[in-house]
Amino acid sequence: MVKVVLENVGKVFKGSKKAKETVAVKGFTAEFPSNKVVGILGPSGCGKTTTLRAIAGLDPPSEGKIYFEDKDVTYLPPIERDAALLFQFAVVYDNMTVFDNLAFPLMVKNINKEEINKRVKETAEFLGLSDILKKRAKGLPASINQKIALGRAIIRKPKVLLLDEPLSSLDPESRLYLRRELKKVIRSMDTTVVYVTHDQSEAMTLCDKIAVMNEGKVHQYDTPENIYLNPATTFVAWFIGEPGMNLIDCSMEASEGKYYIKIDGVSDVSFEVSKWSHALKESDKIVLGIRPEFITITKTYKKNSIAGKCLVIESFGSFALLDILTNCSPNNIIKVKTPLSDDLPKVDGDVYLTFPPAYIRLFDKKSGELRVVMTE
Amino acid sequence: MKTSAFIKFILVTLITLILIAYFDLPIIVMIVTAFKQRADIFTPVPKWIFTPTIKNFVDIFVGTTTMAEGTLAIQNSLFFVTTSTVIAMFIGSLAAYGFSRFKFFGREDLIFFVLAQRFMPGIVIVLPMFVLYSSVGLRGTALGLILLYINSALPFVIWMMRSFFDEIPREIDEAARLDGHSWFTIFIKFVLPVARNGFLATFLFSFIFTWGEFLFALILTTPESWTMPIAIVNSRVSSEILWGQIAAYGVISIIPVFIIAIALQKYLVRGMTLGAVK
Amino acid sequence: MPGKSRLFLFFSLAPAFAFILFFGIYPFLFACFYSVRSFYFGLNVDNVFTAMSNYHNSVIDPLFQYSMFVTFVFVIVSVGLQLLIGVGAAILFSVIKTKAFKYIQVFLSLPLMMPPVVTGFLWWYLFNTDLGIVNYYLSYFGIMPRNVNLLATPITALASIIYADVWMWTPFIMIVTYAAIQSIPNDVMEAAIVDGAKDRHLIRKIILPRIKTALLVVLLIRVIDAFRTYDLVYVLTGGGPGTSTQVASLEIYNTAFLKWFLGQSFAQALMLTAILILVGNILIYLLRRGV
Ligand SMILES: Nc1ncnc2c1ncn2[C@@H]1O[C@H](COP(=O)(O)OP(=O)(O)OP(=O)(O)O)[C@@H](O)[C@H]1O
Ligand SMILES: [Mg+2]
Repeated sequence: MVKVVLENVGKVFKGSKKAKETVAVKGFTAEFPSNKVVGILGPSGCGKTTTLRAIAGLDPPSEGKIYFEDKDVTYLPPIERDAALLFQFAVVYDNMTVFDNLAFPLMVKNINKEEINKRVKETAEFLGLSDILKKRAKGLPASINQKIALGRAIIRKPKVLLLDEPLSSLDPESRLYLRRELKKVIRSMDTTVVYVTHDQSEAMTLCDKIAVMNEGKVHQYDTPENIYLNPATTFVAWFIGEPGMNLIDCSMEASEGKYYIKIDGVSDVSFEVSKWSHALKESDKIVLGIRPEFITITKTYKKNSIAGKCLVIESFGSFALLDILTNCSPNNIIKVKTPLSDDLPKVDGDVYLTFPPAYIRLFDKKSGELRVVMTE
Repeated sequence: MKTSAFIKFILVTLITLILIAYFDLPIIVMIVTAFKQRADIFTPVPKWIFTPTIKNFVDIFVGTTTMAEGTLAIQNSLFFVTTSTVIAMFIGSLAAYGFSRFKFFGREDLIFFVLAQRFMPGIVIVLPMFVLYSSVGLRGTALGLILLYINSALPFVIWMMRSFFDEIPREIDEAARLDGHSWFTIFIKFVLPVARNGFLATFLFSFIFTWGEFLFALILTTPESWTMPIAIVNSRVSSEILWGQIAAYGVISIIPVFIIAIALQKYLVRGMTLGAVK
Repeated sequence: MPGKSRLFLFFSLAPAFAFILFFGIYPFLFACFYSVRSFYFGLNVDNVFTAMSNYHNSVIDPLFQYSMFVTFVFVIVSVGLQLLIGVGAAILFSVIKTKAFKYIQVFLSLPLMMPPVVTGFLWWYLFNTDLGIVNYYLSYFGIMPRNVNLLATPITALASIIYADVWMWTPFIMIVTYAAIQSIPNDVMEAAIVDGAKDRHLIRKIILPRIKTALLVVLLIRVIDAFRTYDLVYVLTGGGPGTSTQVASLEIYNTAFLKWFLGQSFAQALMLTAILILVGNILIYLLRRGV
């Protein structure tokens, strides 16, 4: 219903005797479109919760502005924002019944009893909580608690729904089940959803757009597809994908008026980059990125391929993950993901890796930023 | 936004100041009075600026024509309270350990029985004791009072120490059991050292309570065994009220207690509720 | 339980229970026994069985009735005020979300660390007509004339005792309540805030239900102690003017040591104990039921 705009939002936690100062979030600028699901994805401690709490109004940011539509809400208390927040660990009011839990957000708005009754019934029905409405909300399983918390969040039809790793504290089974429920809930509501997670498959399947964060900074804010295909930084490249991109040091060389990328430590492998040379000229060092699933692996030598030795083969049923020892730096292991077949190399066998140029991404080593997508 | 933060700051400061003033000003008045000369005390308008003197304190230690010296009472208090607290700590911790580590029939009732002791009006205990002590010659003796003080400290010690022992994992005991140590060794060598902070806190709180005890001492002591509270009360029974000296007594009696309180901030709540609220 | 463990259990509990049984049970039985006899200490009066007459005489004795009345007034008003101010301040500090309380709580705790006798003297001095700052400043601000002796009329004397008691014990309730509120998980408070709860909802629906147990413990301790109050009143008014502030403990003390009628004082003390047990049990019942 409203778009949420973050403008250069930053949060610094002041140091104390025990803890030193932490910059939890820095320069977060993004627009979360109305009625879409936006994911905030990043490793533990990168500032996801901090950002969400700032949007909810629990801890105002130390710099920057937050808008709901055109309204500056940066310093408004939570109650004046109409944003619901689902905490990382489900909070239930365990001194009340399940019914009173669900009714709480309505009760505090002085909505009349009949309306409350009606909406609690609806919500409980929707989430499958009808049978336990009269129970005291104490000692219930974690997945039920999460549902109650979710029910409390959606019952008042908030303009913005903030979800902080709603599934991470659950066991795998209820996680899958609740993920489906959550999808149903999110799609059925006219509300802007911000979904925080450190699980990329969750983000990829649920979100329309994803902001990838690391150490308080947003590295990329884009569609799931783009984040996967064209990571904006080496961090995103490494973080997204299972496993992430191989990142290999290389340098640009000129010869006969043309420019080539050569992989450090490996002779006779080069890719022509004359078209993009201007974008690469300022870089001292260049990093080549390629996803494990796009590498072609052969047992016989092919032109322009990297020689290596197969160290480990892990089979995952439909595909296999291979660790190949090469002369590349900084990490001489290159990961390759390939469909299972009879043709797989043996452990300790010699293999050759070919990088299809269309899937090669070139980054500046120092800043980590994406410079070249070789298809363009 | 700035304004509401400012209002909050003002509000907090104001309430804080009012509370501190309300609860600490009387104590400050007492401390100030203890350092006043007689002429500065007997003024119709309270005097806040004056030349301080330590005469009142000196009077307590050497005595004056109108007031007996208080050194003995201070010594008595220190001796009675320390002895009884040390013994109560030992006996009480041992019992608390038993309560904490063993399940047995009627345990809960027994521990509530212990608690019930704390709720018995002191006067119910002390009147029969007065009769008994009078007939066996314990009245006015250190032993008689110390025994009673041990008894009144016990429920507190047992409840507090049990709450601390309950927090210590049983694995410590079990591991030591397997190594062949006796229960008593385990208690002294393994469990008490882990509970030492709680032990210290309990000891000091116990000390504070006994330090201020009045009723038992009033009924059971004779001038040779007066404790400080009794000496303070009795310094009133003279031709003129010795405000300065009484205030000095007050200051002396609160010094150890305040030092303890400040050192024990962390355990304040627990000590005040017999471990019920942490 | 193996034999050695049982032996240790016995010896761990034995010393403590030796004390508790002797100093708890013996006086109690002693008091019961002599409360039905005409037992005068050191006086030449026949010590004979008089059935319930000590109880009967106490109950119909206007002085004893009055002392019970004063005690109840004192307990209810004093503890009530302490609860009101203490819980109020604790909630206020929690709701405006400031850490200030943590830093001042040790200073607030000083009154309750003082020996009660010293507290009594301190307030006796502060309420003194000629020298006390209470009278001085009250008259300075025109609230009351300087020469009123607050401790000399029944109502103001009781009010002064209550004031001193409130001064002494409110911090206790404040500190414990504050600690109890702080132990409410932060998540829960924040969830309620995000759910749109205003301060009054937070207080009524979240804070109060969660600190009930702590409040009951506090109430139990305070009510029981207030019923037994002795030292403060002894020093501050000595039960006066007249017998207007003669609380139960004082009355019992006087029966014993002014009249030397120990038999009757036992009867009175046991009745006080019965009341304490009753009140205590009601509170403990509520506590165990988890209200
Ligand atoms: N109240 C606080 N005081 C001080 N530092 C804090 C506070 N809250 C968070 N931080 C710090 O800020 C950084 C970001 O924390 P945040 O909770 O936002 O991370 P997160 O991305 O949600 O991580 P997680 O996946 O573990 O939940 C961390 O380094 C954390 O230690
Ligand atoms: Mg988090």
